[in-house]
Amino acid sequence: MTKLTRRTALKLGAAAGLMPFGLGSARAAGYPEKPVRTIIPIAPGGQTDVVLRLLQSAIDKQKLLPQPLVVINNAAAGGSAGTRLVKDSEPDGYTIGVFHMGLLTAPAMSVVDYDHGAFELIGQIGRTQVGMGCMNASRFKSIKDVVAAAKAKPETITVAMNIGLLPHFVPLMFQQDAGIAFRYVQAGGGAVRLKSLLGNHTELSLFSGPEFLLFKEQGLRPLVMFSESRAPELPEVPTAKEIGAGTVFEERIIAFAPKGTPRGRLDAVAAALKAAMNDPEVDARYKGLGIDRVFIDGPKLKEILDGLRGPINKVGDIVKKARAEKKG
Amino acid sequence: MPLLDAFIHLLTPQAFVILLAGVALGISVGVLPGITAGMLMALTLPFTYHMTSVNAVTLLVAMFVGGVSGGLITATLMRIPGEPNAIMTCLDGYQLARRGQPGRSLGLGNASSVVGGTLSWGVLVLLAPPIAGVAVALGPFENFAIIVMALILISSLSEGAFLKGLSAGLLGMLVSFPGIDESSGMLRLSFGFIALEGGLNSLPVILGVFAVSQVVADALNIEERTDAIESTMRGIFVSLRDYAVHGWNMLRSSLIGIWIGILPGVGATIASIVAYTTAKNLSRDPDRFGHGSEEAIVAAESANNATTGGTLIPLLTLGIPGGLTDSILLGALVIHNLQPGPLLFKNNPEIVNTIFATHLVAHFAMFAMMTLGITVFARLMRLPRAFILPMVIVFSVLGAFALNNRAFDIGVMLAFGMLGVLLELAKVPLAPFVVGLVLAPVAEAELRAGLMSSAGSFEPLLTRPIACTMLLLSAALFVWPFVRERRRASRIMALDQAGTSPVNQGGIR
Repeated sequence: MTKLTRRTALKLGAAAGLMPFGLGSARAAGYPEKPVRTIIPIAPGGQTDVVLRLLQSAIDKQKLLPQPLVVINNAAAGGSAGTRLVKDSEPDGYTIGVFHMGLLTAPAMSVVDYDHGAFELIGQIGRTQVGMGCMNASRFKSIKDVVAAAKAKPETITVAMNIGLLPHFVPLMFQQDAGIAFRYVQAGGGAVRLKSLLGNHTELSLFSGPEFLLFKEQGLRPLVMFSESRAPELPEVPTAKEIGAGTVFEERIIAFAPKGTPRGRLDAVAAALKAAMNDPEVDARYKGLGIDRVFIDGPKLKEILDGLRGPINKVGDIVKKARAEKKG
Repeated sequence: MPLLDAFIHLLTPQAFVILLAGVALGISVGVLPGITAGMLMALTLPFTYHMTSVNAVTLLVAMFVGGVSGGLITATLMRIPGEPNAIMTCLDGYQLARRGQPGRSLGLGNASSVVGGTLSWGVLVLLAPPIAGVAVALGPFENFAIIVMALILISSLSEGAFLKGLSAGLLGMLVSFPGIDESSGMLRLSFGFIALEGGLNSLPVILGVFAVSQVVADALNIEERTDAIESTMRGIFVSLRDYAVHGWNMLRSSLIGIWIGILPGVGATIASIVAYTTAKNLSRDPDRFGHGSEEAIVAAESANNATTGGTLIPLLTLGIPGGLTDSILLGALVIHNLQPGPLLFKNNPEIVNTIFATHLVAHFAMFAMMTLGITVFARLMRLPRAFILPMVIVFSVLGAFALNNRAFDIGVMLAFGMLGVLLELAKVPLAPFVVGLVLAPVAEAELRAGLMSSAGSFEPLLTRPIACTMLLLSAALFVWPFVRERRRASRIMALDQAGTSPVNQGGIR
């Protein structure tokens, strides 16, 4: 058995010499010997799903791993069924997961009792900036108008949200930081929230940078972005920092594996994903989707995500308190 | 004429092959339960990166049309909803096939599909921009009122036994509750079972109640059924006379389908439910519904295909997809650097026209392929049940699993199979159960979204004109069956009185 593995490893090593970025495969000594099950806890077709499938086909085409990634969608229970499946799988590198920041917000909603800390992080494979916006016809001309109106009449400005996910949490964080309060209305995904704004059923909502560009013709206007500095594609939109509310938050696409998966195997998958991200065609598609092609490795990503626990939990407490009040 | 150019382009060999392949693949996943057209399109998306945007759009729209239509076959022959929107076809299509007319049942469904699709195409091409505003103007309160109207119609599906129908409807609603509450993000009724956190998905439940329960019931008395039912293949080709007889129903159901298709997030399943119940309420022969009524098949199949044109309207004019399949189409457009919305018509008329042309040609291709397919598949009805039943179970298990890759869903399906047997034994009608199951989550989500925006006030239900009108209409619809029953009873009494005397007189003489 050892012989076989070593032989495979040798073969791989030789193959790796012919390919850029193939080194990771050699490091993991024969891994993977069978297809890697990649659980994605959302339905097919969403942005995270599209990104994963792009990388999967690039890995396959360029033979960045000796075995393919097999993508399995498990969208049940708002994603928690899928993440739980990864958490409870053998930590042998043959089951991995890919999800967005829902991985961090689910425990704050008390849907599950674990966050990214329950996994080994492989890396970040994409990132988008997010911001809040309204329709062109809106009474708000700038984010300062919003803050002023909210201070005058708290809890009257309606925000279309997607409960438990960023369009819910980020506005909550912003209202904390700006010392105001919104009224939240459940809508759903980006297009549904746009519909709600278009029909004048709500006034504000969170969108990603690419969504602002995509829906521009329909009259959607960004008011504030929650990035460190102004987004290059939306240079006229101020950041929350600029108006004194320090909210900084981004949507991240995260690859992860069960706790205890050997470092070498995590590195092998990370190297393949990173190499796939450098594929010129993948690059073009990321640009088309408006996703930042920034790879961040596991340990560094863990640091960033750990830092977000505080603000997320703070918001989670507000949600829990509101529920308790409703019950009481 | 750019639209004409798009048609001519579609008939060039390469484009035509892509279209045929799309329709054929769409129909095949439509036939299989659990594997939806949405999944097929999502899996196909990466392959379209290398195509021209015109070809990519052709392929995806063809799959979309094929997928909506294929569900008819399994619904009719096996009582399996191959696509969720074929649920209502399971009710009557299967009964008619079972009574020895599988060809007729499939033929009618197929003809209605193509009529519904073509009518919706007309609306799409002629009225897309003016109608688009309607899609967004209707908010949560209006959508809730529309769903209530559909829910009220449950009472008319109860086949006489009003209480049984109502309980079945409420049971269906109850089944939709466990899992994550979409409006508050909280878990409810999961009783601490992790598997229940995902809720009871409607597909495994429906597969259980319809397909598995039928298999169990058939297996129990398999001996009695060894004499294969004499079934005729006649009726696959629907005659002009049929179009005349069912014309009004096709038109009405198609309009319902188009209208519901335009409303984002409501969808083809609900369209066929509304068309079905409306047809029943207006029928001269409402007692036939649920027992193989031709009108029922026509209504359900015209309506679900008619949504295809409807959903494309908000997608193309506003960039708002109505459901999973449309969002994938949206994704495909975006990835090809095409921005759906008001400018798409100005900047990329070739894409808009390709979508228009494909939508129509795909419907005709679908009709031809389904007709061919039907002639083959309808013969399944001639096989002894002993060969069919295992196939039904295999398909159902695969479908329940494929939906979310969860073994738990297979268990759900089997459990609801048993429940289905009990319901049938107790003569509880299945239609209200399904309607409750499918509509309750939508009604709940819309009402709660409305209440969130009004800070808990129900007032907008009465002050918003469309919502209020819809609710009044619902009230009228609720009362109507009772009034009709009354009037019929009094008419029969009157007839009896008028009719008996001459007979009696005749008897005396």
